[in-house]
Amino acid sequence: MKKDRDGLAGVLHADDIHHREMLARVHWAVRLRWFFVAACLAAGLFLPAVGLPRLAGGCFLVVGGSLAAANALFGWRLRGHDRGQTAAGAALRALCLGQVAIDYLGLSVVTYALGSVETPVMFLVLPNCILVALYFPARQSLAVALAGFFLAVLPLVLELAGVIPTERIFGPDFKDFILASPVILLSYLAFLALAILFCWYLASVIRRSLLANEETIEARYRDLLQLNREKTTAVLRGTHELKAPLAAIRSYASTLRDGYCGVLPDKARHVVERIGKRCDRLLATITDVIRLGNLQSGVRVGETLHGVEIGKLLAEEVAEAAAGGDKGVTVLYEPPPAQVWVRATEEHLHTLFGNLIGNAVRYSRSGGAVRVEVAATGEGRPRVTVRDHGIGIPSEAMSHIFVEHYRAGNAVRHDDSGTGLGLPIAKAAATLLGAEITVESEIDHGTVCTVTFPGMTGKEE
Amino acid sequence: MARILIVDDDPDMVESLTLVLEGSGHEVVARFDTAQIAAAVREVHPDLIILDVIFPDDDQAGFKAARLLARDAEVQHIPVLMLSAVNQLSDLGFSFSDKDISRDYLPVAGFLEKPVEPARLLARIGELLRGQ
Repeated sequence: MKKDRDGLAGVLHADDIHHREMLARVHWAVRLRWFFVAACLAAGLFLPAVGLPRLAGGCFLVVGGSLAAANALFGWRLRGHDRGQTAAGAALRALCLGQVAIDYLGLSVVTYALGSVETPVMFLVLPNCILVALYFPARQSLAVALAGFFLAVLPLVLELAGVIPTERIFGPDFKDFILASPVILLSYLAFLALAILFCWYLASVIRRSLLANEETIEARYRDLLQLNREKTTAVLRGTHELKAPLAAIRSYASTLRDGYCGVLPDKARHVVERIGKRCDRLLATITDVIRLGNLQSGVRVGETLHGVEIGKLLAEEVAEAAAGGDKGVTVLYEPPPAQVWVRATEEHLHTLFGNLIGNAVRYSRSGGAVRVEVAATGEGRPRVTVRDHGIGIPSEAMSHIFVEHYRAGNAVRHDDSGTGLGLPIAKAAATLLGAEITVESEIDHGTVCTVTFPGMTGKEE
Repeated sequence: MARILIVDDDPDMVESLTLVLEGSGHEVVARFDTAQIAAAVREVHPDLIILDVIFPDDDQAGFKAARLLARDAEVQHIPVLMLSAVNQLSDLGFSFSDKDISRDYLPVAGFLEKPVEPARLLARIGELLRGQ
């Protein structure tokens, strides 16, 4: 049953999607940073032993330690986001900017320790530029990308200005050659700047395109929701228009039959009873046709599959079937020893098993028995079996049993009140739940319907 | 015997219900829309109200009327038996049973689906009048 009347529950807005993606990327960045922490600490401890200047080793240790402390703090803040304890968008952006700033500073120190232009390590600024350009508006991300560039080249600038000593790892010739040639130095810096701008531009274009697509999808989804609400209203109104007059006719027939308008002659009473029964069949057909149409449309607005304990639900269906029958058919059911969960909605499960158990009772002989069992397959998938010992289905009819309105000859002779929609409805409901339904039958010996659900380990999956 | 207020837009349904209820000794008063329902209840002083759900101008008029009565301290003690021709249709957002009766969602004392057999209707009315 859906109590969400506006049908919008569970709808993600483009901002929600964007926020969720950003959160996932920030998580990813935190995990990736631990590798950099490990690499920095390892470099600080072992590289001096293979000839790296001692200052460089110390820088790696300081950067590794600082990144580790910052990353632990980021991880703690992210857990707050996961629990929804912090404001969503702005706080997450601030956290992301904080991470980028720490990364830039660490990279700046490592760049200096590795001789700045002697290695391409300052180009590691590019991944952060891409990440920021994907999740921040263009101007903000450009500012952050440029800040990354300046922090990457800052050690080089400070070296050239003589503020800090020039650090070398490959001996004096290579770095002195570059620093002595303005063309090469400026080319190097220009290449870095262009690479940063190129990455920023590319990522910004991708971001704009993604956002536009998200907004389009959201708009289309809302259109679909609106259409579905209109369809629902139309079906509801149409159903009412069909059923209400029949219900009135049926009520009149019952009123006449039960003598509220005076005692009827036997013949008249017989005719009134026939009117009532034909009304019942027409009402059942209308209900089944509409139910099947709704199941086949497959639209479940505001409704999501969730864990349902099937043992209890089957007990309700069995009790209802046992109470409603007038043929003396016994419905046997032993609840499973442990709870069995399936991913479904209660309504679709009631539709599915109401039809299967109802069919089993309908096509049993008077005094017969129907057995309902719950078990698990070898792969741990929940399986429900409904077994009767009734009239069975002829082998030539087996390929038609899921065809709408089809009824085998022996079924019509046994009970002429069926609509031929019970199994199609059950199959449509099973399909919506991702379950498989199989039917085995032997004429005059009975039928076994088996529903196998996708695997589910517990309530919360 | 009880005084019963029927609120239903279908005159045929009202007539057949009236035949059954009056034939069983109850007094029946009918209204064909939910407008001014609280005033009608105060005027009629029914022991029980039979309320339809779908009316020509509003698919959920019965729900709204039931919620209105449930909030009205003067009439909220009167049991409401909801009666609807449309129910248990998947994906219509319109499927309920006695199990779904609650103060917020379906604030009524009982629910029956049309058409209802006279014996079942009278039995349910008897239960509600006895406070069950």
